[in-house]
Amino acid sequence: MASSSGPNRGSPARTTASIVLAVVLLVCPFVLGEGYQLHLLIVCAIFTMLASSLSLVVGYAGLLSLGHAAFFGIGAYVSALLYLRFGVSMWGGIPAAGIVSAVAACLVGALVLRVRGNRFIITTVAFAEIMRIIVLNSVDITRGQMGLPGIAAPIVHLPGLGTIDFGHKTAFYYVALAGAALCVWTVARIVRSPIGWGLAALRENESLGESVGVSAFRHAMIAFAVGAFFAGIAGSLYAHYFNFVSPDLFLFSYTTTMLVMVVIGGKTTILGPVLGAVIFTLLAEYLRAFDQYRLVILGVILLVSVLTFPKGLVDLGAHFMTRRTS
Amino acid sequence: MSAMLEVKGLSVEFGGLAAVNDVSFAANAGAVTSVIGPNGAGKTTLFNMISGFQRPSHGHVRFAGHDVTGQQPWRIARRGLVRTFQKTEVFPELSVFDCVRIGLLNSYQPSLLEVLVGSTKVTRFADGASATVQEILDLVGLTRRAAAMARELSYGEQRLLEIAVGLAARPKLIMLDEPASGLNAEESKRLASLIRAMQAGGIAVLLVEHNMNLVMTVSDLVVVLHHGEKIAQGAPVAVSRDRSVVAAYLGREWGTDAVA
Repeated sequence: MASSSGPNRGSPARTTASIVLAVVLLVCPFVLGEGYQLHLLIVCAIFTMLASSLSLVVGYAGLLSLGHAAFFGIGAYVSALLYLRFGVSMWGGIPAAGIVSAVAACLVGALVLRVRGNRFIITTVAFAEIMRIIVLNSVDITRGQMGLPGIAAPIVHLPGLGTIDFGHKTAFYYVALAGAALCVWTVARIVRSPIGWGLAALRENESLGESVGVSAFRHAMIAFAVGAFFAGIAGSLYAHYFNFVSPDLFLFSYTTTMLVMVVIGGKTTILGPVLGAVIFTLLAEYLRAFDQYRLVILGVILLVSVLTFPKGLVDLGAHFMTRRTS
Repeated sequence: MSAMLEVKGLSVEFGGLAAVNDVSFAANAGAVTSVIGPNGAGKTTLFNMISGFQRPSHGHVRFAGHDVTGQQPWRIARRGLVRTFQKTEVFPELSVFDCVRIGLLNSYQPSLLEVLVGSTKVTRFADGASATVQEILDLVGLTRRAAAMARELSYGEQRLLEIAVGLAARPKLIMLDEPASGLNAEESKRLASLIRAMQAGGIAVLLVEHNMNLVMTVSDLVVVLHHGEKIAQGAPVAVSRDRSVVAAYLGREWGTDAVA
């Protein structure tokens, strides 16, 4: 439900559910260990940030931006270059990546957020592609298609408590989890505030909104910049987790993946993109067993879920809830 | 009474053809001013220019002491000039309650920072919204429909909803573009009393309307447009007897013979 005041918001059942979820997420590394499962959860967290931030633009503001991967890529390269050239650790890289991506969104947004519909969609695709080509061809700085390896995660020495190596999955998991939580919290906070009412106006009927003082451009810009900020941070986390960035991060296929997660999960819901990110990250991994049929199976699942749950998979949960109460 | 809205020499051409030509008039605070004229007279175009949806080729619009000519619609709205549309506009996938609440943003829009830090100003505004929306829904008679989606409303209800959204924006002047079209007799009556309630509440009303019954009963001043030009202006009774007005509506012979 897109409305800001759901009936069971802040209810005891909901509070309990949140606490249980938080505890489960926090103990995961101890249960799963330092292996492949934890790796998947870290990837889930990174994609949660991408999907959740994109839902602000595509879902809540109703602007079909197909350039979200550009901000992911910008964040990744900002973090990588700061580390490799200036020795700035991930702790500096994360905020820097977010801020540079947001500033880039403001500059691009000043141009593209004045147009709507097909023209907007095309310009966002073009932006991501231009960024990819710039990164690909600035060989002196980015090494082009070869990419930039060796972006390590930090090791923190705590006096008297020993050291934490964020190169280990367990430590990195908590960073990624915190990033995803901050992103989801921020998106929820914005869409439930009066800014969220303005986003609904922009999405539902721009002219009517403008006729009662709601600047479409201002609200589009807020969604675009905040979305880019968290996509940038996701890029930074990606760089320090995989220790490698390449121009492929700007590829259209990344944007499509994020978009699928948002739409399948539920684009004007808080939990939908999270659910979409987790399900599709895990599915894409576990379907590897089916080798060349993987993408076919993924495609069929996608098609069926879009046709069955046009409002997203969270609708499925709401379905069960209402059936049980009525 | 002072002029709340002053329109001076407003003109616009579409491909060399003058849709509105050199129109001037003033709408007073606390008054109901109606713009009438046959189809294609340029009434809606005039509305669009005043509210910023159409840039005029010539002329000026002054509202509440400010030149607002050619400004963006939302800026003009923020000054207190709010409009409705001829083709009914709502936020289709939002509840009636949520639709009206959007109108409240005309008085206050928090910054991103205020929202993220959870400033008390934002909380107070959001908490107070509910009561204000209720009041407005009561006034237009949509209280029972508060939880319904806007797209589920009947045509007449949607027209009332659009006015409710406009009222939530706390206008100094509200422009209603053919609000009575498509309304049944009952709803028209409700509209007339609503317009009087707005006037009583100190809101100036600028009305474009074909329903002459409504125009004659609620208006303080009537402005008549024909082929994009102003041909008459005055009190309702005086205008209805004006020869050029009768001629514009019924043809030249009627204008010269019948009334004389």
